[in-house]
Amino acid sequence: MNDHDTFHDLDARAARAAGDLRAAARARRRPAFDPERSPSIPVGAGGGGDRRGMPRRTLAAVAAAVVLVAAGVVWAANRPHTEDDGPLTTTTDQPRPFVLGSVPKGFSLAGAGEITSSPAESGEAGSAPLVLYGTAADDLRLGLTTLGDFDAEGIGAGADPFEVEGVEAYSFDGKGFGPRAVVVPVDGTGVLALAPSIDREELVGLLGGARIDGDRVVLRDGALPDGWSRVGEEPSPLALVSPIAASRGATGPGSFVAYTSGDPTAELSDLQAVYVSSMPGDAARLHAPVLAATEVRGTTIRGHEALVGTSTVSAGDSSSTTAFATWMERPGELIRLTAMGVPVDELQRIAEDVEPAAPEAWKDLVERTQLGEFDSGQYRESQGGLQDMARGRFDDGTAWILRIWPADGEDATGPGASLDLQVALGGDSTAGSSSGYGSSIGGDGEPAEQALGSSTQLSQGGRSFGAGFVGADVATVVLVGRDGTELGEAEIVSGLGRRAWVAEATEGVAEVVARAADGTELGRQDLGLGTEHAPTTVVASPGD
Amino acid sequence: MVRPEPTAAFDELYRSEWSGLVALGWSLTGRWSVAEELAQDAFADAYRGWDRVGGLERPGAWLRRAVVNRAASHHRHRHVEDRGLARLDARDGAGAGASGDDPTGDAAASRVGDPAFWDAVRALPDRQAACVALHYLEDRSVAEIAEVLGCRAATVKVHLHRGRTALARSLGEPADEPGPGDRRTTHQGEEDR
Repeated sequence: MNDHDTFHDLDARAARAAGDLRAAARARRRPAFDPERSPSIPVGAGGGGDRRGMPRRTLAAVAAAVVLVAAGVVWAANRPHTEDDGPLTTTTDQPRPFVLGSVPKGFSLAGAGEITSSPAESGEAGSAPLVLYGTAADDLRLGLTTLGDFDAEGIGAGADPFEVEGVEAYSFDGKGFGPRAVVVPVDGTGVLALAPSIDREELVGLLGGARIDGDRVVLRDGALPDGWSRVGEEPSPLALVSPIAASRGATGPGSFVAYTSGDPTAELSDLQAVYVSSMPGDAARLHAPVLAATEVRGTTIRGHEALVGTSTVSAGDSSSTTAFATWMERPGELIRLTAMGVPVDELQRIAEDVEPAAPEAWKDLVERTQLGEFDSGQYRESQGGLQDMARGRFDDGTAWILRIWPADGEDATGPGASLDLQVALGGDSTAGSSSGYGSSIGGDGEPAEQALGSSTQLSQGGRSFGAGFVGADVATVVLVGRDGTELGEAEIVSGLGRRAWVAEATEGVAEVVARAADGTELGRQDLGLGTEHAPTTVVASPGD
Repeated sequence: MVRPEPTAAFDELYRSEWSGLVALGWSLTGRWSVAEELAQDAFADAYRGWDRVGGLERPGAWLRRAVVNRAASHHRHRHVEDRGLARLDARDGAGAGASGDDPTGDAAASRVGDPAFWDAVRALPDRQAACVALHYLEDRSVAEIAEVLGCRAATVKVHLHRGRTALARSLGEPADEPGPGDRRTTHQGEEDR
């Protein structure tokens, strides 16, 4: 077979695959357009996608999120900040960030972050608060949360439907949210109830007294069993079962650091991950994991009353177990360790090594995470072998790093190379302020000596940044507005045998102009900011 | 030329381009849920900037660029997590196929033919994957892909060449090939375009 035949075969295969894909796409339901929609991609659609105008996800989708393990800290986003009126969480002091005093053998630091927003209103299934009921904060009996619009047909594979006195209900016992997990429709909303110690028929009867109150499910007065009361809430049920809940913002405001072991691109079963989270908390939040735990026991960690246990998720023929260890380090300061691929006894031993991070060290850790310094080598390789070129800070102290993305078969000096700019703006690590979305202009195949080569723009946290290759003769790169007004000057940096400009594109900047040392204009380039070039610019909504 | 009334024109764009954008999004992410989010976000951007986008000669190209760029961002930030979910989706898909349920919507991915081909496309660097997807999925010319991606035709040729070579290699084919402009694949039934 000659090459022509070979690629004829490839093209024919591609045509068949493309035709099938187009047909599959056409067969899917087209949702009504929602003009009020907030941008959600690339912000955190991993386990969700349950947005306005989209089909509602069900518990199966929630369970799916549980087994997601990120080797690098995966910055889920789109967590619009709302006023969380959860009245029962008390905090005496802002919880301190915690880290492991020594990294467990075989593990490496994968990143750290801070969360300032509530998971509520992200629109994702499982993002509504879990309202906690029991006889006391340390004797929880029931957790209630909403899953969004109830859809009997979409309730999901794995549900065990049953009926109690005419009430339709679906059991998910042992499928990710502990031994007793039931979904029932309440006022058209799917309500998930976690109650490991209650018979499921009795539970459905109890839910006859449930009502929807905003994004919460509560039991009506008079519906509470004797001795019960509403004792607290957890920001999201996902926080109780997902080992990476913190990086998805499911734990609510707080901080977290992640350690991983193994090849991040390997099979999940080959990965190990430990997350250390700290958050505002009370006795109810401390004991909340019992509602979704497969096994749980009391113990002592760092001299404090603690709980350790496991939560197992089943999905088809596979299952995944998350281990947890949690305690109050001091009043109002709740610590949770969650792990995947780590036995609970080992996690308890690791927990003894937890310690508060020094403020400056923590700030540096978060900044380095936002700059992608903990991205694994495998991840970089999968992206074409990103290489660090230069780093620095803008005038306001914001750190940036510029990386080169060589083309296949070339090094950083090759004509096909392009740039990757990352900035560390601080703020919520699950939101867009820590992960920007860029576009590129110009491109590969350009000679390295060109005055203005391939460039990249980055919109992040309501700000815009840019960088681009410059030739050897370029002495200055000036930022210019549409009307030709000079608005600033970019920094010229060099590394890996290349030179580049880096700048924040402040309001009004439309293009960059390269000049020689004698002032001669060597080239100019439209940055596409604010023009019809740039649909990539994500509007800085609260969710960003 | 008088621009059509925004709502009607936008509605028509949404109707005519929706499935094409979703297919493009799926080709780049491998998940229906993400693909539909990509399409929704692209249309939301277009709606907010309709004064500008509505006046473009080919707003569909603008939408595709939005999908491609958002897919690249999504890929970069969610790479590992997506691998995990894709695996789970596949498992769910198998079960869903038996029961007739499709709880996440992503199970439908299992019904797309030749997933290995699309896996190979997604294994390419983002820009190569975008060029290859637009070339094969939408039968777009080098010039059209360049318009969509906002880059030069020469750049697209480089990416297409590398992408197709890598595809051939990863799918078990020899690496050398004619230039991407030498021959075009013909697709049928492309009313979504």
